[in-house]
Amino acid sequence: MKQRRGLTTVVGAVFFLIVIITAASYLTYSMNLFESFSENVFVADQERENRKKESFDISKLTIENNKINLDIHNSGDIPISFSRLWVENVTGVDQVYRFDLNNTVTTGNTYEDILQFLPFTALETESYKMKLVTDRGTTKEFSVNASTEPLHLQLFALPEAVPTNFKSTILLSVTNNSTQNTIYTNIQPILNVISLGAIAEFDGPIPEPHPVLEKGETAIFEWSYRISGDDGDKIRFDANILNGVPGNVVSKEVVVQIIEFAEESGSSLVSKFLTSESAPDDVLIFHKENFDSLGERQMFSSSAEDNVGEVIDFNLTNAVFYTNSDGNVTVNIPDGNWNTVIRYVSSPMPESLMHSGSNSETMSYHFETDLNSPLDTTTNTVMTLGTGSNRPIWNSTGHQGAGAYEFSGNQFASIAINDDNDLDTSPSTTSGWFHAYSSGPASDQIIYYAENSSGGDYLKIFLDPNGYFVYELDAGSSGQIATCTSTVDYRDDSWHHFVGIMPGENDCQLYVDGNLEDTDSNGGAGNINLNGDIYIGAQDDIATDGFNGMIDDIIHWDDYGLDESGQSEVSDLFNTNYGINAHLLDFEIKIVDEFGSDLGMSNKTISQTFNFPVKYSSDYGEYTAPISDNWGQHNFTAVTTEERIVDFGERLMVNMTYAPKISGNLNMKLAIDDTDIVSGLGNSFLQIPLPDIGLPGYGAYDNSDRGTISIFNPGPTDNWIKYQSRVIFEDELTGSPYAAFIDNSDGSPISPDQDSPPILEGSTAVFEFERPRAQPGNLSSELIPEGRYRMFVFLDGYDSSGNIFLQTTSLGIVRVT
Amino acid sequence: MAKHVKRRALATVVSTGILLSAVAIMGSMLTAWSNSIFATEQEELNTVYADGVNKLNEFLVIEHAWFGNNPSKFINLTMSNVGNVGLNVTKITLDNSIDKTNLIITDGGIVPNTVYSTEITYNWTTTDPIQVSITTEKGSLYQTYVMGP
Repeated sequence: MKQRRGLTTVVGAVFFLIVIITAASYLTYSMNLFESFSENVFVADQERENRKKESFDISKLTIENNKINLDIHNSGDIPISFSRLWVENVTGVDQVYRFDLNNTVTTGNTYEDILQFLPFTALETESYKMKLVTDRGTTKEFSVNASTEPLHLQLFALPEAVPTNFKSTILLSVTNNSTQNTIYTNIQPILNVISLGAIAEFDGPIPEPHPVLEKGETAIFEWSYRISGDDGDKIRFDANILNGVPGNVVSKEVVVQIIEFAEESGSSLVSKFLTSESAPDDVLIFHKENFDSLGERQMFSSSAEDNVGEVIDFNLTNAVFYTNSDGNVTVNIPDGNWNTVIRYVSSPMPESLMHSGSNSETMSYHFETDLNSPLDTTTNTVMTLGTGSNRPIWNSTGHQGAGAYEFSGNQFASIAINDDNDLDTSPSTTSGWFHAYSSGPASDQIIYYAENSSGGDYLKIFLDPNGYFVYELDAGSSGQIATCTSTVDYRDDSWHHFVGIMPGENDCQLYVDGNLEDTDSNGGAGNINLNGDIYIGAQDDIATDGFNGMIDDIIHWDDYGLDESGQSEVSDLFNTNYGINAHLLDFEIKIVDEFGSDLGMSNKTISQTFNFPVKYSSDYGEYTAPISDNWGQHNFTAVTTEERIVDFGERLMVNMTYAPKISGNLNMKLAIDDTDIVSGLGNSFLQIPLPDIGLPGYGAYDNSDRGTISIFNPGPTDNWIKYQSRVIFEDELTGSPYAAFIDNSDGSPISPDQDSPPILEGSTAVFEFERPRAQPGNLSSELIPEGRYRMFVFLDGYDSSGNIFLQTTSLGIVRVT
Repeated sequence: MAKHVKRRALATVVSTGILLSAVAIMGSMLTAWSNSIFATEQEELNTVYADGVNKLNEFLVIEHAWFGNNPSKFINLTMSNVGNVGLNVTKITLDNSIDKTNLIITDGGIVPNTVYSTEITYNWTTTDPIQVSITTEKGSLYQTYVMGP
């Protein structure tokens, strides 16, 4: 029995084993499938993530010689492969073109001139719809030469009423409020001038087409016309977009208005202005004065005060501006765009590198604009680009979204050597960004080279035949060449940062992308006296060993070696963004109560935006304050979709706060209230949707007494004011005017027989005026009643060059009590 | 005594045979049954897996819609397969809330990184957005809106 039981047990066990093995196999197979499925889910997730990271912008679109110049910038975090471009002619022959591109663009780079070499002819007069498709399925559609849906157009005339023969500036604002997320390109404005009695003479220049208008962005086109005619004659301006939607037209009338005086001036009109132009109700200029503005600064519709202004250092304070409060007035502001325009200058260095004296940088090129002689922000040295085929090509979005120069083996730039870049004795530092093409040659490629033509000394920064980065110094000491070499081939179509330091004449340290790559220390003293020229992108002016790629942000310290171990200066410089993300600003635009306190209601908040990127701007000016009109300009736009009401006693507030970065933080300074800032859109200001009435200003006049105003003369001449000069108050609601003669200047009377004392260039004179009446000078006519008025100053005078001037300047909304 | 032993031996052999046969038959049946169950489950798992993975890796992009009106109004749709596996478009639906068209596609196989275009007669307008829905054989649904020019 024992044997039988054993045998059956064995047989049973075998079958049981088979079942167990089968079950185990099935389980293992299931687990493998599950693992494989998980991997597939992961891969699919990764693909989805990659799609999210894909981002590209149209950086340029123009039409020249019947060819479209289209540049696409990869602004995402991963390389993008563009697979197709669809082009549809929507005005001419209804045709659709499909172009297979199959071109890959790495992060931060630009795919240039896409349509230049494709068989496609474009006409300025026809409109096209285009669509780019990537191999991950991301698409971007844009319209060329047309708007396929009505755009938000606004037309402004500054001023709307002019004396005959005066200029009026016509501004067309085009906002892309597309509901279909369409991007419009090559926007061309059309302005038709229709005479309603007056004559308009175009005073140039013709505005250029706007290349790219993304959703939410605004393009502004400007024309200047000289208007002439009789009192009451008008000119109507009708503006629309070429190939726009029918009926998408805006109009504005400009009227010729002769101000009525007690006496006829009889003066001829010449444009010799004492102050800058006036501001309309929707433009609130940031002013430096702080009385009645809660200890912060004022904001109201009036021109800048003088040519001194104020520079606000964001490192020290935030910039807060308030309009005045008025307990008797409610201002209704319709929905629309709120544009904050800031004029500013960027710090040249991150905070750790803001040294003074000999420890500060002595040469700095950022290539933010394309010039034959690119600007050195230190102003110490002069660079000259090669000419003809030796000229490097400027790429407006080459590095960090901003300018860089591209070299293709045959280009160079030269910098004259002086005490600020000749090395001489240690220490010294040279840094920069480079982007070497993978298609570059297997030979030396020079980034920076200089030598002593007689002594054999040299400084050579280059990629060797292996693509390794080399920083090499020869101080003339026999057999002692300091060479620092990386171990990585940098011909990889990516941007890299280098810092080469000469701690001693025969020693070197090399950092790439913030990491120490190599050191070489030979010791001993030397003297590297470079002379002639430094060459960028090649070894000499015949482009020997030319570089293939892009170069940016070449900075040199002639007497200072960057301190990484103690101050992290190399890391800070590596993390510094000299491009479109140089600074981060928080924008808060709100309606607050009369004490500046938050009202706690969502309909009182216009914008609460954090970390808004502001581009680098320092090519043109000194950091302390540019001595000329060379401030950067950046716009922040918030959009409201419903009306906002500034109620009785409330104020409008703008608060700009700097959001510093942990490493590589560049400070910035804001310029306000300066009559010298006239380029671009002028001073820093907030433009709001046109309110029904003007927001309260800070001017006030007590009608029980004589009044006083100050007038600044920015030059270039000395000026005299004549008796016919006056102040004018126009009732905001009824338009009824009241006026008063200016009869005293700095204590000296002004009369028909006596002009004012000279207002010297750059000085301010204080003028007194009579109590304003319906007829100035007629004491029996109506005295100005209390209320809100638009105040103007009309000046009649002559200057030290013998020219006569007439000038009307707006002082904004004032309250007469 | 010896006879008695011989009888016992024969009975032992017979009973052993019967027992072995019974165990073998039961074992074989059990093995066959379990194999059958596992094979069925495995096949079902394979199908679910293949469907799931293929659906996961399917990705279709409706690249372009071109509106024509000669000789009658039509929409030319181009779609591309940007996924990792081939897919089969089986149905295209156009719907602008006024006019709905269902088109059964029989030649909609698209290998990865290629495009498929088809022209569909449709009475589009310039004011009503059209919902484009594309269904694949695996059951994936892709939708977008287009508007007549």
